[in-house]
Amino acid sequence: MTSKKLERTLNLLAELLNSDIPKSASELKSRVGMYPDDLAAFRRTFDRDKNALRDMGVQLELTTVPGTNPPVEGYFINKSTYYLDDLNLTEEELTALNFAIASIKVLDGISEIEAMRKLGGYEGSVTSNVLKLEDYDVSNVAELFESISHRRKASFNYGGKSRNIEPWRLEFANGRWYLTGNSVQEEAVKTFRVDKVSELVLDEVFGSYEIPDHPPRVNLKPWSYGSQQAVETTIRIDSELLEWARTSLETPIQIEDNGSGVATISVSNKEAFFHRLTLLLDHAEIISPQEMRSQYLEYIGRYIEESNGET
Amino acid sequence: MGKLKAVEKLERLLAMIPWIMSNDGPTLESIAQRFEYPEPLLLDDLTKVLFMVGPYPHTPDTLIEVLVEDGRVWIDQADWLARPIRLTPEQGFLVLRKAKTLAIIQGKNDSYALNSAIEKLEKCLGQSGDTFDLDIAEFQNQDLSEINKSIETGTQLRIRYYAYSKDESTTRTVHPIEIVNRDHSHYLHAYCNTARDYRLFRLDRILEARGTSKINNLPDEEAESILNGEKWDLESEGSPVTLVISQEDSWILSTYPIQNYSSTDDGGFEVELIVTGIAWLKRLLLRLSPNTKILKSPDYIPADLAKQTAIAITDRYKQNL
Repeated sequence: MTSKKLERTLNLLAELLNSDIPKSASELKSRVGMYPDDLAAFRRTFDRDKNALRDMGVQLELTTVPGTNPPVEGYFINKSTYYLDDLNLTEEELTALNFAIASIKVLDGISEIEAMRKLGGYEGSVTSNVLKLEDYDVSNVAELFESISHRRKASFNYGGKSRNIEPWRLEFANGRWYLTGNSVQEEAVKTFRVDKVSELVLDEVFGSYEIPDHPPRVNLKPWSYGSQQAVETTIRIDSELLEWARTSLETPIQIEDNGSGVATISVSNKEAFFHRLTLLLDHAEIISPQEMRSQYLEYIGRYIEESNGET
Repeated sequence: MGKLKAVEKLERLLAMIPWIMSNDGPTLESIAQRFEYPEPLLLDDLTKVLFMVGPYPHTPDTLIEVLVEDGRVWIDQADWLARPIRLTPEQGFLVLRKAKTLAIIQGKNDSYALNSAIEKLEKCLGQSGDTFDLDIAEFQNQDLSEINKSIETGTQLRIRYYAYSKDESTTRTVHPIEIVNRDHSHYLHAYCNTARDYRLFRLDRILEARGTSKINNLPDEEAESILNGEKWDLESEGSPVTLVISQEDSWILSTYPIQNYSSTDDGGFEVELIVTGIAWLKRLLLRLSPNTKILKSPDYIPADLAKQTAIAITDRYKQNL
């Protein structure tokens, strides 16, 4: 971009940011005063300038110029969506954010350097790289993030069904992104795996719904889904498998004096629970209730009775 | 900093103007450094371009005023540019995600400034801990901040590690490089003294980690090879095992790396898979139907492995009646 082009794009932005009503292309041409006279050349140059602004995140709206008959389309920047709210970041906070940016590298990801400049400056000299994330397609995640940020309804296809959702919560759990929100058609709270969302479109209307104070977290515990009455089940886990059990069972574990751990799990689907418990082999044991303990032994006993091998 | 590309100048000028206006006469040098704008070019663009910018009718009272004096810069009559452009959805998402991820790694005690920055960002982006959350189970490892410090300082780490496939724990010294994610889990990528090679250690299988003051001493070999999937965890060469499974267990054909499979007369399957540790196979057998058979296996894997595993589990219960 030559100095003249830079000056022209900035002057176009000046016109748009200093106007409360849409301005037609010809009016902008006349007011900026730096565009070619030839109509085709003007259109090409004007399009390039608009694209440069849009690439930076400027939302350039196209709407009818008031009082025109026949209607003439004009360009407009809504100031409430243009400006970044004042964050008042301290130097320490900015440094901490820069350190976070430097510490976590997203492979094949989008650049956040421009974002840091908007927030007050990017410190390119900071190098750390503690965490290297290989990201899968996160474009839908970013769109849904925007949807929640501005309370814009989202419609998408999920499992072959068209959905209209008020997104409430975006959550990264068990290595995947999940969306929880209110399904408008069903009037029910639903959770979706974001990588299975397709044809995502956000509603143009901002602030069209409210998010409840504490939207529910995604539930990824198969043993909690089921028609059986929930049974509070206590298990003891050997110290060797505590860390892994904590993530595998997704439950807090109380450490005992001997180093082993005790966890209480609400079980509504015994088979799913037994499946997970077998992963702990003989490093874990159901303590109570006695009925659950007996049923698990019965479940495991099938492998003793039916095994075709020789001892 | 070399030449700037076309839109880079525009983007950086729009980001720096608010900063210059809110700081009383910052130096050209500090602006150039903070916004990665070559100083001579910056001076040119401030005094020859920005100076000519403003809304119609471009009279002195509408044009931006730029004053450069003694290497310091002041900007006036640019209220319409006094605040930066809002973050794009991708930018907001990425910055908040990275900040929250590091805050979890660092632990609450070590990240006061980061946490307060996150709060401000969340408020600005219309988000909160309730609407945008990262629940990374492996990051609950109680020694994660210790592991993080060793990566940041480039120092060796003593770890006690549970090998899932072998159902045993060992203590070893590693030279940590970074944390990486693979197949929905997070691992410590490190050079292992015991294995004399680079390995990936799943964070929730690191039972204990203690930092040392010894500086990492990495061999010249290419550390990237492990990230390309050549070596994994502590698992060594695997052995082929052939199972006969029933039809109801056909899900393993799409879930596990099966070498070969064929249908059996009763609708089941004969499948060959590579087993890298006996404990891994024990767990698999207890997920499959009890009538699963081990058809072929190396000597160290008994044909009645499922039965033996089940007996070991029930024995534990017998001891604690």
